[in-house]
Amino acid sequence: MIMPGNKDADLILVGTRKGAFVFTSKDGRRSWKMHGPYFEGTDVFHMVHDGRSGTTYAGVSNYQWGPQMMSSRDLGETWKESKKHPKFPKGSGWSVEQLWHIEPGSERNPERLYAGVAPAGLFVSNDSGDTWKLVSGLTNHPTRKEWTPGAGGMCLHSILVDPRSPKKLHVGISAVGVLYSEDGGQKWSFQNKNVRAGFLPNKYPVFGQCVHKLRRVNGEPDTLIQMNHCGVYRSTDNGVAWKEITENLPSDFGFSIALDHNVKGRIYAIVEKGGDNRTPPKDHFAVWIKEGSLPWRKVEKGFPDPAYFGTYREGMASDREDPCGVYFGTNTGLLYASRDMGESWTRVAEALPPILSVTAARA
Amino acid sequence: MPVKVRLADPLRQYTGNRTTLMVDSCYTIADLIRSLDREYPGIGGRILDDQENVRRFVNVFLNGDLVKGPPEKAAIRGDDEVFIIQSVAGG
Repeated sequence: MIMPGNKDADLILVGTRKGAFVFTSKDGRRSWKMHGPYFEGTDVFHMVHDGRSGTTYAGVSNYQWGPQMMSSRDLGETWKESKKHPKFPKGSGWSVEQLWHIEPGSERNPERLYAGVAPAGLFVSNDSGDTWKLVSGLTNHPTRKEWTPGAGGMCLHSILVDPRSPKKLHVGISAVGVLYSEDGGQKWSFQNKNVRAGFLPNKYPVFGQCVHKLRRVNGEPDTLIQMNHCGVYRSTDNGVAWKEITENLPSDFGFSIALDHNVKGRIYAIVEKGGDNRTPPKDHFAVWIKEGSLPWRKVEKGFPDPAYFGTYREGMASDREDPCGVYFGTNTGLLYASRDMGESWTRVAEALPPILSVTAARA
Repeated sequence: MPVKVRLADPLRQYTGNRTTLMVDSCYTIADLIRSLDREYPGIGGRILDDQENVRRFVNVFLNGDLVKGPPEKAAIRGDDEVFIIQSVAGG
């Protein structure tokens, strides 16, 4: 039950290194009120608000006491722990270390959720997060022993459920790449064609690419966008092949990417100098915007300059309003919002812990 | 004879704020943690990882000595005292 005062509110859900925060707006995203912190002192890698049930989910990853999948029916006022958390089977040798991503299933399966964890694993819940089961087809992939982690661990951080068929799933794993299943997760194939792995001797392997974030264009389900360790890519055939669209970006390295909900092909991205220096190119922070075949253009107004912060892979999100709102949080605790498709930005909060994830929704 | 268990503060959320408990009929640390989990659902997963080993940054002390190795092999007896606390970390 959402608290009466927050009904119809716009929401920004923020996971940080030291807890979670919920920001609500009741005036058309002009001003925001902060709630929290929840799970104080603990890593919250991801939070989502599931519009199907009105439930908020948080992946809480305490490095001492382990991960907990939590849910709230009142936007964070109270939280309930899953009865059975995502957990690898005994004898597998793996233990869930962090809950990286929570993805609501399709409208056809209103109680289904997916969770991506480190070490790379996909879990499914068919009871609104009360219990979780391993999608073993991915864990048992014949190449699994050859998978290697990125600097953030071998995390499964992106999950796409095809709106046309809930059995068609994409996942993104660092540093393994994109995998696709047509049968609900029993069999998986790699989808990394034309995606560069500049850090390997073979620059275009079948797998081993470091996908940083994978998203699907709303209303154009065959079009996927990925921010990668080595560029930005677009696929127009549901991931079968990719085309690099890094073009005039000042760097091919970044984590955060978001897509406009209304304007197909409008992309928002933040790039950094590189894997060994994750600060803005030339020390000037910008949000980069691209529409279709047009070149990337930057929006810098409203940001500190010079700037030496970065953003993480879940650090940017868009909402479903029109015009689309875009949001991002930095690893120095700054939270920004735009209510005009990224053209102008306001600072919502400036002293949060390092921000791990940002998502947007409507209560 | 029951075993006395002392828990770190973050685990109080499972025990109704109690940090000292008496637990009966346990022969190993693993038994003890299973027994705790039956009485306070969820607490076992905070102490043990998916492979039922004590989590890397959790320490179990038996009568003041750090328990090393699998909790299934750590025998306990009545009147023993078990501490379950997080390890120190800094930075």
